[in-house]
Amino acid sequence: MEKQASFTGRGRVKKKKRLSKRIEPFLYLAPALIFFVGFTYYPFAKTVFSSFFLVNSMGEIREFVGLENFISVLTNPAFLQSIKNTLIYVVMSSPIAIFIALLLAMIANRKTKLSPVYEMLYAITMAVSMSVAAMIFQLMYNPTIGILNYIFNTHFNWLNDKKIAMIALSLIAVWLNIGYNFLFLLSAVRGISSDLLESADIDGANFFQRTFKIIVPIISPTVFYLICNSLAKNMMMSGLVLILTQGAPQGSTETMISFMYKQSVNNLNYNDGYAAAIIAFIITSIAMAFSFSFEKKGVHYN
Amino acid sequence: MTNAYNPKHYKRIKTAKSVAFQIFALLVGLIIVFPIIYALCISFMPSDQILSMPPRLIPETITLEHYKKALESTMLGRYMLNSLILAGVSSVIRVITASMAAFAFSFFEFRGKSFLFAFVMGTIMIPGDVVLITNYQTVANLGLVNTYLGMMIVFMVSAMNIFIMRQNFLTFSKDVKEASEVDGCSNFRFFATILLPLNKPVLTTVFISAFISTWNTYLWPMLVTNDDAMRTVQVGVTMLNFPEGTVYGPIMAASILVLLPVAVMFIIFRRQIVGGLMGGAVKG
Repeated sequence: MEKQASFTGRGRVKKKKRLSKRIEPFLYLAPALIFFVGFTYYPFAKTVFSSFFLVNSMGEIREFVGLENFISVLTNPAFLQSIKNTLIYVVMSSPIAIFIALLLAMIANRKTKLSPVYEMLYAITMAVSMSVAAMIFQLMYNPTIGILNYIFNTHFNWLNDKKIAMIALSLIAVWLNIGYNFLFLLSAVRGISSDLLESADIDGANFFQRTFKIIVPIISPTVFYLICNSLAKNMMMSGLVLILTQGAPQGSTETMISFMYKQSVNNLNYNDGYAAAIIAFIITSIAMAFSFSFEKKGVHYN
Repeated sequence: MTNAYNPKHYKRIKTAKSVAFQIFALLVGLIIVFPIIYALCISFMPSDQILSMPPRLIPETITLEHYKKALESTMLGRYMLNSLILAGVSSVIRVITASMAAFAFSFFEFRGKSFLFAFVMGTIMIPGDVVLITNYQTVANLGLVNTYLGMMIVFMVSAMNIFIMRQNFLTFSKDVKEASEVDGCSNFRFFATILLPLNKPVLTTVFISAFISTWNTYLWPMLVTNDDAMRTVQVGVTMLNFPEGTVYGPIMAASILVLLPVAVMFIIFRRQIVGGLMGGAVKG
């Protein structure tokens, strides 16, 4: 900073240059800040603000009603069920995807001739989009010509049975998240010093002891990051519902965001839409805070 | 087994074990990608075999009919063009906005710097889905429904990208910057002709990951388009209409076509993508 000043001239020139120098960094920041304000902070503030008002079907604010919108959605059985469904979905899909990815990372840990090939196979689901996965699984779940019932010799009506439809959606999410989780866990596992693993070998620890007693504590920061990441992602799930089930059968697959989407876009009921969005945000934040409190106990840095 | 201490013998056992292990690992990999293999097989399978009972995986005869149908009797080609424009342009803009912001954060001292950095990183806490409806109203008020700009506008900046670029720029030698100042090189020239060309790897990383994520995005493009000609592949592939009975083959063919470009990109640029992910996530 001092050095920069010493190169500038004297007197008036110095003052002028200083002014342009002072605003220069803001010029570089301006494009990013404009988009952040316009499409993140402003809409967030507006959503919070509007949720305390009655809003007509044109999206115009009408009348202050305090917490009435929140009370209205929170006493709506359909929304309450969507909260429950979302939580079930998160609890089913997040840990399983991390667990499978961890096992895969343990398998791929050692570098071999073929390891680039199977690493790629384990990671590739990261490149698959949600809608393509939805189309593929829709056919696999087909009760008559789909292959899943045939392989497992079951007769499930995967997407139309209200007991298992949410499990069916969670399975898709597990599959989609394996690749991302795997890449993180692989680099974490490979970062562990080989001395440590060898000493565990000498102690006669088997695969599972080695994984859960020695490796998991060491890579716990990565695991923690993945838990937070999948919590945030899965709490906001709506695409699979909108493509595959529309919340059916009997509301058993409705999620908070698919409820929000349908109320606002299909029914133009922004009162429910805004309140649902804010409640989804609050629940996600609580889940985050909860996992951060767990971090203190379970995560070992260094 | 006669002499366990024979080094040659020991080595052979080790190799056999390693080969067996690698085959096992490969089989696990095939199970993981099974849905993709399944879609591939169905996409090449004649319709009567798709509908046969019991369901089959390996096609008896191979047909390209489904690919032809997917490309000819739907607007898949147009959807692909739309997605290419959306992903390509918004990723380039993301690289520009992110590198400029990262430049300011790493090479300038100014008032409010740490506040603005927190302001930028704070956007990570607000999920796009929560502000979806309000953003739609903004875009509708700007008259941007059914336009490329309307689809792109929410993808033009990402805090994570700024963070990754800043991490890279901070390791850039300050001496080079000072030397360029002595030579009378303006900040902008330094940024455009020295800093960016020397940081191509991180620019690639940001571009590729931005491209894949916008190509794969579903909800926002669906919300801001209702004209069939403006749909992206991700929205279009879920809405393809075929006569009943022949529907599955073409849909799987279309899914493979939608998946292919990003899968290839992912395989080619995996190293850069992974580097970018870790750079953004692992705390110091």
